[in-house]
Amino acid sequence: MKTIRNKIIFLFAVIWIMISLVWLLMIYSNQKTIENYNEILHRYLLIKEVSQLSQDSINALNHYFINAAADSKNEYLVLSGKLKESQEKLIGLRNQNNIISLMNYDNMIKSQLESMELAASFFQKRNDTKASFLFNEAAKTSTYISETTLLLINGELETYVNLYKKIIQQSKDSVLLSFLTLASTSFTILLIFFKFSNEITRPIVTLTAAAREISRGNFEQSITIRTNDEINFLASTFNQMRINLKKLIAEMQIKAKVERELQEHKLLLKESELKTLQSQINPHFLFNTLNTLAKKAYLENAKETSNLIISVADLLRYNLKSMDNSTTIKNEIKGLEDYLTIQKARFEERVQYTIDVDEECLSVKLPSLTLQPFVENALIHAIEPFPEGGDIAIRIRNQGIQNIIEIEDNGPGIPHDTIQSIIKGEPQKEYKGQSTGIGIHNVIRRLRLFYGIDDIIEIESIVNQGTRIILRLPEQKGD
Amino acid sequence: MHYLAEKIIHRYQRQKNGEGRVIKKKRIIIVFLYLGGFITLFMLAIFTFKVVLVHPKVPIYSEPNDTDIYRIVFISGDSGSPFWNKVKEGAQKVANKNKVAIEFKETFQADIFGYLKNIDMAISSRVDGIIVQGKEHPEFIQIVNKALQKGIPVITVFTDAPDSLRKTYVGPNHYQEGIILGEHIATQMGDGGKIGIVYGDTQIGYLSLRKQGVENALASNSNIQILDVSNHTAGSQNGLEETTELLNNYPECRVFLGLTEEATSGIVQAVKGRGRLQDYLIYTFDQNPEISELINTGVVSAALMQNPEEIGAQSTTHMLRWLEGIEVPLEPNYYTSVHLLEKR
Repeated sequence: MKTIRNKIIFLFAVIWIMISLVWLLMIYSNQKTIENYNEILHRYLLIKEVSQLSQDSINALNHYFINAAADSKNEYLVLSGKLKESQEKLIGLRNQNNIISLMNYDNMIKSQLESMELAASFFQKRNDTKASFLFNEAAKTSTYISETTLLLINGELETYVNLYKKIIQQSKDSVLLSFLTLASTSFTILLIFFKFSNEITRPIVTLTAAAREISRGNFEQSITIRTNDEINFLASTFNQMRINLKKLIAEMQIKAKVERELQEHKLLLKESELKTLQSQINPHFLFNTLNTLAKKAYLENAKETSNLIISVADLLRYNLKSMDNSTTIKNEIKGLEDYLTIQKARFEERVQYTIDVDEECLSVKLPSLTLQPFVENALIHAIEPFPEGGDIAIRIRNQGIQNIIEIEDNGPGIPHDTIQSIIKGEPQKEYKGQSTGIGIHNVIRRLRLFYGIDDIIEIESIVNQGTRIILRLPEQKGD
Repeated sequence: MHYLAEKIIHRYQRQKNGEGRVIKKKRIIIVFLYLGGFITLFMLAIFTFKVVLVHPKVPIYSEPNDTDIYRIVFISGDSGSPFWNKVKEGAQKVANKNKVAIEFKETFQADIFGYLKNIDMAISSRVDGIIVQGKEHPEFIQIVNKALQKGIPVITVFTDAPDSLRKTYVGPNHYQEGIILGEHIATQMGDGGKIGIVYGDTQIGYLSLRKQGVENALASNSNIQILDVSNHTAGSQNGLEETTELLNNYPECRVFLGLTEEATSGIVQAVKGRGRLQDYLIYTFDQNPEISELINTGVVSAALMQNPEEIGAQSTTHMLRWLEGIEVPLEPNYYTSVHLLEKR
């Protein structure tokens, strides 16, 4: 894995290598130039030294001739020895241009040395004439040597003119080279920095942006970073965290929804139970009274009245008993018939009703007191206000996966906005059932909770022609 | 940290806002950096090559066998003259063909001291051979003898120093020169007449030889009268003065002979002052560009010319033969060819 640390090490290694290379290059080049200079200087110095020694030795010999002292002789011997040494070094100075003049030079020194030696030996033998003649020879040769020295140095200058020019050019090139190295190092380092910093910061920026998105509650954006370092690891971990968080929150939301629905269900049940409790005092009293009344009416031969009272009692019992239970369509229809029997007694011929139920639907389960509130509603709005009365038709049939319950009347219809509010489940004060105390919104809500779907009711209404309420109840699985 | 993060986010947002522009800018920078980097690297390589690898070196001689070449010094006393340049050319050609390093040393004609010093230096340098223009000067003879003592052979060229111990003389036979030119003049002056001979220099050996040759050639025709400046005082003469004197003494003299090129230019100058050049016949020895011009224009009727390249080549060759022991001893004289150049 290319870690950030490795990248930094690489970067610094590159810079270090470049700088060292440049440094070595400059040192090498300088060293070469200095070597050249040294060599040239060395040549000059050697030539100069030889010339100087030639003169010094002849002076020393002269001194010796005048003094005839051992010191002077020694000095002369030392100097001539040195001259011999230097003369031997001269061969190293040979080049194409000066080989002849150097040989001449070499021979002149030899001549001088020989002349001086002979002069010294003649001087010791007290042969002054010969000694002085040879001394003069040596002295002349010495002047020739110094003249030739000038020639040699001149020749050196001529020989090395090109070299000097090259060296000067070289030093100019060196300066240019150093600037070039500076420039190219700068470019390389800048390039590396540019790429490197991008490589490091871009994932961080992406990561930061992603973190910000998550902190805002947006878990949808996936994080993609294509590097090969710690940031990539960080990003993938972060991504995992994001997915986990998203899942957890979704679960939490589902739980909360379920809980809320449960709560609501409970509340609705509580409402019904309260209603039940409120009327719990009278039921026993009422049942007993109604039974007594029925028996009394039967004994008094008023059979119709007796039946009516029994219907009322049954309805009341059904209503009270089955608030929180589901029931079958068969039971529901029984309760509805009781209710309609009572209402028939009330409205007589003004109300006409038909109940049409498929045999197979009878055992279908549904929440109790589902139909009654709709029928009651139809009676209140479609029959009661009109002296001529109206028709109510209840049809229950099976249609594949769902059972369809239709409650139809031929009343004045329901205004459109009212239908909308009913479907939305808003409570309508005026529709509160008289017999059950349960509003339509309660029924719809219970149906929705019971079946777990929203699309359960449909209301078709045409003004002055009638209303049809259609309940689509899905087939319940299992029992 | 927080501040930094904010900054980065800020930048990120800014990038998002002006995304296209910023990316384009970035690309330009990166391309620029790449381009700059490559160009500088390329130039860097070239300069590194130039500076580090092609380093100038102090040239050092590395041919070990070249110590056994012969060193010959060629000393002439006439610096920059075209005649001697030709001689040198000839010598150099021979030297180049053989293993000979020839060194030319020059002084001006009058500088006898520098001339002798050059020879002495050559002796001190223990050269293998000395080729020198001979001088009839006692110190010259002494120094040639000194060279011989030290075992250095000396060959004289162009002019001889017969009294010295030189190995040989290479150059024209001056007496023969005089004969040739004299015979030519004799045919030109068939009817006889006066001829003025001008030295233009002190009366040194080879000029006398030339004059002798001319006189001998002209002696056959008794009608020809030879004139010259009788009272020679050495060193004070030049061509112009001599000619003027001759013309003063013998105004009817219409023929002049210059023994040297200096004499000839003096004759031409003097005659120009007296009358028309066409009326005079002028003859000369030696050659230089001035004389060539005079021949071309017809002022000089004929010139006796040497072969300087032959002198240079022959002298070097004989020196080499002597050094290598092929030709020991050398003959006393090796004469080189001469020829007569007439005006057209």
